[in-house]
Amino acid sequence: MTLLQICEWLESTRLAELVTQSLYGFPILVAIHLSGLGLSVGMVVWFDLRLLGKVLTATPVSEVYRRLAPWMVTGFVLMFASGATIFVGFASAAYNNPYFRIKLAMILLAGLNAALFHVYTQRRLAGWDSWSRPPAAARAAGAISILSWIVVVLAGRMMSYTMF
Amino acid sequence: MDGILTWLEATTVAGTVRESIGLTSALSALHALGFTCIMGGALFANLGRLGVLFPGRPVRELTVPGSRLIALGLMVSVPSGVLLFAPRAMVAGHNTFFELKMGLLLTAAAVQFGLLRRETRAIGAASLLLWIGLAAAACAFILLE
Repeated sequence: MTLLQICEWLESTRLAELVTQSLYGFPILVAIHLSGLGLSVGMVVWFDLRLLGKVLTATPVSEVYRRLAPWMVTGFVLMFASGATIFVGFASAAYNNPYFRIKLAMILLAGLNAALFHVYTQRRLAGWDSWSRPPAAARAAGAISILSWIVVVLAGRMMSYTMF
Repeated sequence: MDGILTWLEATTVAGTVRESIGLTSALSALHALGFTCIMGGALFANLGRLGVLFPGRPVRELTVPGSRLIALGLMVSVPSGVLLFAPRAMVAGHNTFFELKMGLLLTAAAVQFGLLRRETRAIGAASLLLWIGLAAAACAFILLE
């Protein structure tokens, strides 16, 4: 089965029908997607700015993370769940859309960046947790995160003008 | 009011945006980016005022950068929004959700910036609700039109 065939199968499911045919299914899902966006990206940016040494410089990095995490996680769950559901309804159109591919690539970059940060950079966190300006690797992680989410938002909105 | 809307629709800029789907989608993308900044700033500043996010820190450490991010978001969202509005000023200008969105935008900005130094929980709650209301009205405007 090719990816495109999987997309076509997804579009034939009952869930896809709910997304595309019901009166309020699509607007409700998009509204959840945008709320999730505001909460997730809107909060992750503050952790990134802390890594860049721009905000809350007197608060340890680990504490900034701990306090922001519940909000970010809630936002990401809302955004990914609603996004995946919307995708089921328009899978093959999305698959062929260049902006969707850019968006997906940037989400992967943001995810990989976060994973690398947690696995490598954060391991030596104890040494720089309280620094007002964290080391270069941590600052780079913050900058990459902000830039990749900016592209995700831009490409995400461009999709809706080029898909339907 | 209708006179202004009709004039706006007839401007060269409105015509340029109306005829270019590329320009419209690029403006809309910038508008969404501004929206994300506004929401991020509103949450950070006002959850700070509510004492929810970083209860041990001075509230100004959250309200000042939060308000700055909102201001940055508005600098992106307002001009792009005006350009998106111009080509369909008559229809959008008479849309209930759009009127609600503009009312909430003005009120939220007035509370956020006018009462910037007021760091009470009540102001934080009011401000946060106004920004969330703006987001809800914006969603309703684009999705239920």
